[in-house]
Amino acid sequence: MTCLDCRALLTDYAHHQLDARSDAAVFEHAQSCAECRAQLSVEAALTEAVRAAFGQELELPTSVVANVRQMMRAERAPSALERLTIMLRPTIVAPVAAAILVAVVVGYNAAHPPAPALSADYYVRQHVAQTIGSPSSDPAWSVYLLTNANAQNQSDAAASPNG
Amino acid sequence: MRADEAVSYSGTITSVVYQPRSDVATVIRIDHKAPTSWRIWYVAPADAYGRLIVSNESLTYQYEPKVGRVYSNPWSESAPPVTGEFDVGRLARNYTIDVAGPATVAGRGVQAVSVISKYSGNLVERFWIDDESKLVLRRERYHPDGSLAFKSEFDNVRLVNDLPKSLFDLVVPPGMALVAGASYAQSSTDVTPLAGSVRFKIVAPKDLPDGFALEKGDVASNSGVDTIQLVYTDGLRTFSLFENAGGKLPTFDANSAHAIPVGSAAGEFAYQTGVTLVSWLDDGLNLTLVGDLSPRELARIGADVKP
Repeated sequence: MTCLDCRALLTDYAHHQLDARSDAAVFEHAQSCAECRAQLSVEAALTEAVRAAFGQELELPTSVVANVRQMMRAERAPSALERLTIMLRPTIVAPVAAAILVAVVVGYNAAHPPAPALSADYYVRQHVAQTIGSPSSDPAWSVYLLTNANAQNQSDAAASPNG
Repeated sequence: MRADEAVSYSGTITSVVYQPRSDVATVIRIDHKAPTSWRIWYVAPADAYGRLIVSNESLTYQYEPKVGRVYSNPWSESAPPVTGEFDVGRLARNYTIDVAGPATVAGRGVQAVSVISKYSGNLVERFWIDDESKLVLRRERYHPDGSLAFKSEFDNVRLVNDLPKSLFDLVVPPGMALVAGASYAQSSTDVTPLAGSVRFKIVAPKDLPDGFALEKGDVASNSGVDTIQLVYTDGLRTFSLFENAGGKLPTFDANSAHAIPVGSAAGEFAYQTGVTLVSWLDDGLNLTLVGDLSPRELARIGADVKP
């Protein structure tokens, strides 16, 4: 290695940036060349001086870090698995499941409306109709009850289906 | 044979049902041509005034002039006699018959008869029987506490040899429409087939009040609710047990229902048009008792009914 070649590599050598072969060649030349060895010492002193002057590490503001991370995420489109994972999060699944359940229940109820409540009058008339010929029955009153049902066209299902 | 199968008569009958809140009375003009022709015209209450019922005990026409309709009803006992036929054997097993002595009703000589429960010793009913025709001219029914439940009495009565046949013709006058009236389930003394007519298991009281036995049953459907009815009697008093899977208590008239425990269930009772009604829910079934007994007696029966 010549002095010219060596001096071109001195800065990298001082910062440990050379590959192993070049690093060894500079080291060997500096052992036998006083001028290159002196230049290497100057380079090393300069590096140490700069390090001493800016020794404290500086941290980036949090907002900058967050923005950088967001940009890193946005840059990459989620995979299908990642999209499925997002959809299966409880905050999304629970409301969707509830909506499906409500739709199923409403649909079932529409096809199978709940039975209405029968009226007390209905039970009394049924009882009177089956016992009207018995000694316990007061016929005039019993006939009045039953014929009243005809005349008034009463509904025995007094409640609405949702009642 | 009932007395009215041999005796024709005309008269006026007043019936009063005594209820906790209000008493209700009916007044009818009645004509009976033995053995099976009946004509009843309502004088009171106001909502029935002018209602005419004509029957041959096979078919009944109910004339409602106010609405221009004639209702046809296929009741097996369409226009019942003043009193029903007694099961004398069952009556004698459960009741003591006490002849109180002569009296007068509607100007006619009668014998007063008291019917007393052999189990409770309570006076349940009184009859006043016409000396000549053996018609029952008056009857009174009592609550277990001795208060009057209802009273029915001839205000006047005239025995006749015959009545004009035209009085009992089943015809539809011009301007009136013949429509079907309410029909009721056909009951049977054989209740075994009822089990296959509903989707729930039929239940019955294991322990009946003294003297009561199952008489008949039926199934009826209303607004999609199939209801089993079992009728029990002791020869004089009756009650019905209704069962359905509707899962709801019946609706009552405003403020008429009161809470009553039926076993461990929370039931409701009401006095409704001369009878007592107790209803509760148990294991998805609505169970309702209707009859001549008191709310406490019905609740005691109900406590023994387990789905």
